[in-house]
Amino acid sequence: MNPVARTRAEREATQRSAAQQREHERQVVAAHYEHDPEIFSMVLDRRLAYATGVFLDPSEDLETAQERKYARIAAKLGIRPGERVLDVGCGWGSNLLYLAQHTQGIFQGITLSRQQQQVALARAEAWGVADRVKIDVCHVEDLALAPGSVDVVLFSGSIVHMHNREAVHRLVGQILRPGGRVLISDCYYPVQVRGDRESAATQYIFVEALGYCRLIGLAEELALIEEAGLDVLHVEDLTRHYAITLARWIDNVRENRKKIEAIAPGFSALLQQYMTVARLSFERRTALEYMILATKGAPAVDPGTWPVGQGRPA
Amino acid sequence: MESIAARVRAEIAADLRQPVEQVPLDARIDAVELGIDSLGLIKLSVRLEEIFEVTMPDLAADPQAIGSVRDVARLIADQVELRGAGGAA
Repeated sequence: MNPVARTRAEREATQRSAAQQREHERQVVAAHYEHDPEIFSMVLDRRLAYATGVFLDPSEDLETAQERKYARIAAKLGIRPGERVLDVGCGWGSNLLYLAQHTQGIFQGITLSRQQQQVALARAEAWGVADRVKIDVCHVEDLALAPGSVDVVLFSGSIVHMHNREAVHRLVGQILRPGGRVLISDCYYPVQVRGDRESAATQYIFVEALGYCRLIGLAEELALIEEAGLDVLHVEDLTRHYAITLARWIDNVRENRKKIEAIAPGFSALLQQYMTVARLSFERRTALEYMILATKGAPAVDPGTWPVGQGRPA
Repeated sequence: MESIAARVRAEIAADLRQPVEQVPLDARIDAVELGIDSLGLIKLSVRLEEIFEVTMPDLAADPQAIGSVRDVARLIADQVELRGAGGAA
């Protein structure tokens, strides 16, 4: 299940051993997120989601769209009191802390960035949920969790940084207990090649800006989930929402350019450039954004009961 | 407008590592003529935004719609002028 590498970044990764690749990700993926959190707070929503929002209307503001996304993830996961939740690539704690504030679950987040860990922990404290929140700097493949010890695993905008997908899904399949669920929200390539995956723009976003990214096909990811013993419950396309989200972030970069430059010279241009590549990719659908929900055994939530958007889709 | 056009030409020339003379004002900025790829156009837009404190349309999304080096300079000049008028009011 390892088809021909689609990009230079992926080809280079296949030249490394699994251990080398893990070390590589630890270094290069963390680098982007180690930038001063103050910068990201000027660009993202107040909870610092570095992932798509869900817009009912393209004119909606970013906060509203991100709040809707948090609520949607919460509804999909249906976390019950005492359930154990693992957020892989938890960032500054956007989803994790929202879920901690809105449920009685017990949370463990992992990130490769110490800056993100510190922000997430400080916010957990400030928002009164620190007693149920643990954040570690850890690579997913180094997690030592007992089989069947976790109820929910969340990957929001993070699995794209993980080359060794087979190992990641196998791990999720093992640590989930029956009734468990996994939610992935990330970026995929359409199976039919659209756009130039060997372009300078692709290399720029996957390597120069974000360290390491591996986009695979949706069906490949779903197959890996199924091979890990899980059942796919729900998939939705959020591509158009990401295009709008990115446009909002770019506007925020523009508005705060001088302040960002004062903190990290050159970083506002890098953000605007990679975000523009991403926005155009989603607008042209040369890359797609999906939210995937899968369960171990029978699902306890029913997608038929989830509220559908009021009004026209964004 | 002349000084803006000169700066835009200089920026493109620097990108392409070419003398300014190789970037005529009438050259279309899309890939075929000058040899700027889509990432190059995105980087150029961002740099022009930084230099002139303007908001550029997506050169990479639809370079056809922008046209020539001169058109890009005019677009910037219009915004700079508008800002000047606003500032004086």
